[in-house]
Amino acid sequence: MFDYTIEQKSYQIGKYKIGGDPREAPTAAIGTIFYFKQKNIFKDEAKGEIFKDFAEKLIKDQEELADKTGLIPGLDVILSYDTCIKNILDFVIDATDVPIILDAPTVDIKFKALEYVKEMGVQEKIIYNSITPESDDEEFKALSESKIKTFVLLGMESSKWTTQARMDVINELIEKAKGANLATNNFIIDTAVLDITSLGLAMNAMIEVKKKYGYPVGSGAHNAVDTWRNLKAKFGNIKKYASIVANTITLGAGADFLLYGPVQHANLIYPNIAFIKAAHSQLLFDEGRMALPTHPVFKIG
Amino acid sequence: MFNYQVQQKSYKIGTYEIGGDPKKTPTALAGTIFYLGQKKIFIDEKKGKIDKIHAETLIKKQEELADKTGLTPLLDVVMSFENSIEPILEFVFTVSNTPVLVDAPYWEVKEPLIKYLIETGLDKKVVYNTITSSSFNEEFELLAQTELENFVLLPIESQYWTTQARMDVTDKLIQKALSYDFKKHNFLIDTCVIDYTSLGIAMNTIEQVKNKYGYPAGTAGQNLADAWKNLSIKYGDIKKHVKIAASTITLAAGADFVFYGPIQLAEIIFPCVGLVKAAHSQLLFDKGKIAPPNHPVFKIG
Repeated sequence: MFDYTIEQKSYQIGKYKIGGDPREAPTAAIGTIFYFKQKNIFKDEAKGEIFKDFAEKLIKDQEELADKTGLIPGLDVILSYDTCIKNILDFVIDATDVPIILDAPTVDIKFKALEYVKEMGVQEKIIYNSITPESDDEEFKALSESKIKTFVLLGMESSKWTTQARMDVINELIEKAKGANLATNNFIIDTAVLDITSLGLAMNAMIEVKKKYGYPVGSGAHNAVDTWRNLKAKFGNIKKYASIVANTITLGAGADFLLYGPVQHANLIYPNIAFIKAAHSQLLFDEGRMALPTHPVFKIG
Repeated sequence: MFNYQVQQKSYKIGTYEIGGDPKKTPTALAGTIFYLGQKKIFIDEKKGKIDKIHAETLIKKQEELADKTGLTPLLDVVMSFENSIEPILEFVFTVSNTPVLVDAPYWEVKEPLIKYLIETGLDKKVVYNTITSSSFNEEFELLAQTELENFVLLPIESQYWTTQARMDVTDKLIQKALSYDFKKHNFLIDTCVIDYTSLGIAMNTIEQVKNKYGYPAGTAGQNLADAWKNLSIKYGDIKKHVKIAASTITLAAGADFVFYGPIQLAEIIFPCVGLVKAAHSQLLFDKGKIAPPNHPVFKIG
């Protein structure tokens, strides 16, 4: 497992690193916050007026778990309205120094968010989520001007449903992004989980991307569970278990990051990722090596 | 993922098959029943007097979940005392057609168990769990006198903690078992999880065993939850989640069978494994193939 013929890339984002040899590098576990209609967090969602104590507690709880497990924390910050950008980003930048994944549903909001990031001068902390096959020249131009350095590339493919088709889309996306004069070509590849069957392809594509490029890889595998029709009707109230399984199974394909879903789930997902990382770190012994003192294997026991 | 150099073996046990290509073959899930100190099931544990209604409910629930998910059910039937052998096996074979793994902790119980299997002819039906690296010649010799065809081999290695060391022990155990005149040499290799670091080695060994021999491979990943010191102190009441994730992660290494722990966990583990198998079945598309109609991918949605 985890034998690659090329060097695995890792990127420094603030004080954290994402990517590398899955036996050695702690996974980035990224919780989503300020998602559309998230409960208890918004006073006025469209304006980005929030309950700061509640939001800060969620963020700090995740940081504490990162500290207790040795994993890398990240925040997938959703900006659902252009009018909420300033309030939410001001708050998040002030409250935490974990990597911030900038995530907006429409291009218009994305552009405004990019402008604000540039104005604030906080590009070092930001990961852009995401460049997709639909991203046009205007988006690439805005990204180039933003001076953001790290980008999620989302390899969406929904017509052929094979690993090769998914790799073709990813290859094209990488080539296009490379030609866009971005500040740095620090790419993170989201191999795109939309539903249950795409999880298999996404895992295989993770292995292939790491073998071919060495870019950090991962996905939002909990989508497989969110789109599982009849889950509750057929199998009862097991969604939280299924989400943990969908997320953690990607570690077997070498995932460097997990977009694990709502940040409230940090207390369940962090220890579960960490023990698998501890397990996989043992494979360093095969090469006469050992994990670093900050690795989950030395933190969770 | 799941590309092997040798043909993958599968064994017919009752109406089920175990082993094969992980993209195609449903995983076998072994729930343990009548384990030492199991709650609510024993009236007199030493004599094997049991609450039959409770035991049958557990067994039928697992069968129902196997039917709903397309996965293969197994019963890991523990007999902790010599006097419990007959009543427990009589009961199990009366109520269920699920393949039975006979599981006794010591030679003092294993010996009368094997003799009972010969006397009753049940040796034709059961899977022997387990031949270990500590098994004496006496055990091999007695097994050679039976009609047993299917054996779990448990290679224990706790000195070097590398994949190579574990493979060396596995090779040795396979060679020794092959040297005895068993009716068939249908081996299932349990790559041995004791704690979380051994899970990494066990996963790598699952891959290597399938690559080298094609024998069905798997393990009891959930053991690590019991061995995880300070789990609940550090992370709260998440042991059940850990057991599930520790079981399912082995599927990324191609596990053909999973000893998922107490049979009471069936209602969580079956759908979760069904999800992962459905995902991995999509990789058949890469070769222009599709899963058979009774595969989890066509059952769980």
